[in-house]
Amino acid sequence: MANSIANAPAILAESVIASLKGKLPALRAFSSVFTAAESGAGKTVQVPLIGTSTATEFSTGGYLTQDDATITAANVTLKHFKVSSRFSPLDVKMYGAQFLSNAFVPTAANALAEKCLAEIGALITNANYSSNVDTGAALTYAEVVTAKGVLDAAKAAEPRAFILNPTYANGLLSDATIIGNSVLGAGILTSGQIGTLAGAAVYQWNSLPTNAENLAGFACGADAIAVASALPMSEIPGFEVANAVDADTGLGVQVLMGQEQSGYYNVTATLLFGAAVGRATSLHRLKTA
Amino acid sequence: MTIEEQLLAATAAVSGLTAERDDLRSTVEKMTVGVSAELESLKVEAASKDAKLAELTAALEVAVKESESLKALVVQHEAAKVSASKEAAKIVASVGVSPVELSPADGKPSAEAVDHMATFLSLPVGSKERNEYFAAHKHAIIKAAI
Repeated sequence: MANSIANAPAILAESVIASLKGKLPALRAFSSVFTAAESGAGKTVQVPLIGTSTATEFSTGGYLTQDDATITAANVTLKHFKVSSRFSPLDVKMYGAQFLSNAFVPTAANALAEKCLAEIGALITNANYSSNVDTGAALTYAEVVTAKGVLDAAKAAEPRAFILNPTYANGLLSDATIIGNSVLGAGILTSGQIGTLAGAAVYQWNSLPTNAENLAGFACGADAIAVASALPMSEIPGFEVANAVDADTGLGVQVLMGQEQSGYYNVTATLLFGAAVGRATSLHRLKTA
Repeated sequence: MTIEEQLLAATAAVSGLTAERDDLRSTVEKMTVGVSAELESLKVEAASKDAKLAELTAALEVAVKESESLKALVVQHEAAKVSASKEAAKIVASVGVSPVELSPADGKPSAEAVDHMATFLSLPVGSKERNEYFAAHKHAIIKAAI
C-alpha cells in the first residue's frame, strides 16, 4: 500500500463522474455546453440552442445568407457547487482507498446531481414556459401523444424528452396501451424502463419540484433548456486536486483532498453548473391540477 | 692470302670464339646459379605452406570436435528442460494444484505485473480510454491509490 494520497483524488473524481453521469441522463435532452475548462461562479457560458433548420436553394446570395433563423443562444450563469466530507486518517490508513470510494463517491454523486437537477427544476414555471396542460393524477399514453402534438406544433427541436415525476412515470408503466403491447410490454415489465415513447426519451425524475404550480412532468425539445458546466480553479496549498471528465457528454467534476490541521482528511467534490431558459415554446408542462 | 696471313686470321678467329665461349659459359653459370637459388626458395616456401596446411587441418579437426560436443550439450539441455517442466508439473500436482500447460502466453506479463494505476494516470483526462480503463480496472486502481 502506498503511503501517499496523491493519487486518491484522481480515482475519486473518476468514480464520482461515472456515478454522476448515471444520475443525470436527462441532461442529454437539453442544449448543453459541458467543458472541463477552468471557470468561476457568476461567469456565463453562451449555449447555442439546437434549432430546426431549413435549407434553401442556392442563389446569387451564395452561402452568406443565414437560413437557420431559429438558432439562437442562451447565456447560462454558472454556479459553484461542492460537497465536502471529512475522514479520519486512521480509517483511511486502515481501510485504504476502497473505504474512501465507498463512503464518498455515492454521497458526492447524489448531492451534486440533486443540486444540478434543482437548477433545472426551478426553471420549469409558468413564467418561463406558459404552455401547459392538466393531466390529472396519472399520465396516460394518449396524453403523451397529445403533448407530442403540442411540441410538433411549436416546432420544438429534436431530440425530445418526457421528464416525469415518479407518479407520472409509474402511471405510464401501468398504461395498458404500453404494457399490453406485445413488443414493448415484456421489456418494460422486467426493466421498469420505458425508454422511448412517441419519439421522445422518457426519464423519471424523483425530485422534480412542483414549483407550487402542480408540476408533475414536462415534455420538451432540446432547445427548451440550456445547461452548462465547467470546473473551478482550485489551488489550495497542501491539497491534491484532480479532474475527471466524462468523454461522452463532456461533464466534468473536480475532487480536492488534503489533510486539515485537525488531522482529518477533507475530501471535496465540486463543479460549476448552470441552467437557463432556452426557447420558451419548446417546453410543455404537465400538471396534476 | 699467305699462310702467315691465314694463321693470323685463324688465331684471331679462335680468340674471338674463345671470348664468346667464355662469355656464354659465364652466362650459363650465372643462370644456373640463379635457377638453383630460385628453386631453393620455392622449396622452402612449399615446405612452409605444407606446415601451415597441416596446422589448419589440425585446427579444423579440433573445431569440428568442439561443434559436435556443443551439439550434444544442447540436446542434453533440451532433454533436461523438458524433464524439469515435467518435474515442476509433478510437484505442483503433488500439492493439489492442477499443472498449467506451458504456452506462448507465459511470456506475457501477469496481471499483477501491470501497474493499472500508472496506466490509468497516464491516459489523458476526459478521454474515452481513461473512462473505460477505469471502469475495467476499477478495483485494482482504487486498491493502489493509497
